[in-house]
Formats: sequence, C-alpha cells, structure tokens
Amino acid sequence: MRARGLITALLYTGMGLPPVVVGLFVYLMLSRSGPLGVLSWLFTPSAMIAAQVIIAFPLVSGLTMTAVQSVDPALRLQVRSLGATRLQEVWAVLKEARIGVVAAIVAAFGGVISEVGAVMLVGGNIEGKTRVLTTAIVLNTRTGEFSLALALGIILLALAFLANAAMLRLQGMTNIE
Amino acid sequence: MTLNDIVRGLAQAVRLILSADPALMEIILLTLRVSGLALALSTLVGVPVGAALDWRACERAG
Repeated sequence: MRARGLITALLYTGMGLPPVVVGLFVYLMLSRSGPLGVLSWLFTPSAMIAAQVIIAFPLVSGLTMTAVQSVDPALRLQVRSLGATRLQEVWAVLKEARIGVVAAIVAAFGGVISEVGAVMLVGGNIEGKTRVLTTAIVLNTRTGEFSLALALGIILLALAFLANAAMLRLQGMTNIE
Repeated sequence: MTLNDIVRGLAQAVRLILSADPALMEIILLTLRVSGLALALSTLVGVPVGAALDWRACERAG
C-alpha cells in the first residue's frame, strides 16, 4: 500500500528532525501572534516539553514500529487463533518486541536529554525558570566558565547514564517472567 | 582546554554535587522534569501508534 510507505517515510524523516527547526516551528506557533499564542507558553517549561515531544514522538513510534514489524508473524496468528482480542494481540506482540521498544524509549530519551537548540529557542534559557543543563553548558562555555560548563557536562552524562541504567533494569525485569 | 582544565572541571562537578548548590539543583530538576514529561508523553502515545503502524495489526477482519 502506498500510504504505508508514505507514513513510514514521514516517520523516519521525523526521527531525524533538526531540533532547532522544531524549536523555530514551536516558537512561531506559540508566539503572541501565532495560532497557539493564547496559551502564553513561550519561554515556559511547557513550551520546552512541547518541542521535545515533537522530537521524541517520531523516535518512539518509528522505532517501536520497526521492533513490532520484526516479530514473527506466526505469533500474531497464534494468539489470534487462541481467541485473543485485538488489544491482547497488540500487547502480546509488544511484549515479544520489548527489547526493541525499550531501545526506542532509550533513543528518544537520549534525544531529549541532550537536546539544546529547541529548548534554547522556546525556553529562552532564563535563570531559575527555563534553564536546563544543556542550555547552561552553552551559556557557561560562551562566557568562558569552562570548568563550570565541564562540571555541568559531567552531571548531564551521569544523569543520562543513571536513567539508561534504570530503563535497562526495567527491560531486564520484563525479561524474567 | 588542557588536561588541567578537565581535572578542575571534574573537581568542580564533585564539589557542586556534594554542596547541593541550589541553583544547580534547580537546573537538574527542571532538566529531569522537562525531559521526563516529554518522554512519558511520547511513550504513552508513540508506543501504541508504533504498534498500530504495523500493517499486520490492521489486516484482521472484523
């Protein structure tokens, strides 16, 4: 089917969206005269979350799709013949593909935690309000506070490592059953 | 950037974490909040959408 190919191509393009372009798009949507300007989200954490969802969503759904597609079709037929409802069938397939699904979530997490262009544009890097680790690193590097920038970078890496370790632990737990 | 700077950065990182610097804690918490919420929303919607995009899930009759 042609629509399927188009959706796949769009999703894969979404997985490679330049964050700064996402930031620009969200900025225009949320700016006072923009279509969503009434929300007054610009330069708030809500705007940053919105931008990061646009970045993370194609990664999660695209890689989940890939993981699910590589599940043996026989499993689907089997659970169907056992009288599984549609929801139960999807659940069984997702469980079978869980390693790929967790990888999808891990990839999306890596995308959002390290992202700087979009959150800088729509958040504004306001101290005590919208400053996150990545934007703080940019600021401190620009102002020559290299050891502070490096310290923040090390903290960011440590956070990413801890979060990934936790997610992999979760993956391991689903493996036990 | 010399090796010395990197060592100094490491030392400062440890100092900042140990002192629980309020400004740093605020930055860390906001980072986790923003990325965590964005990831949670994307996962809640993205996993079902990804699963539904497998055409074999849709070929079921009825």
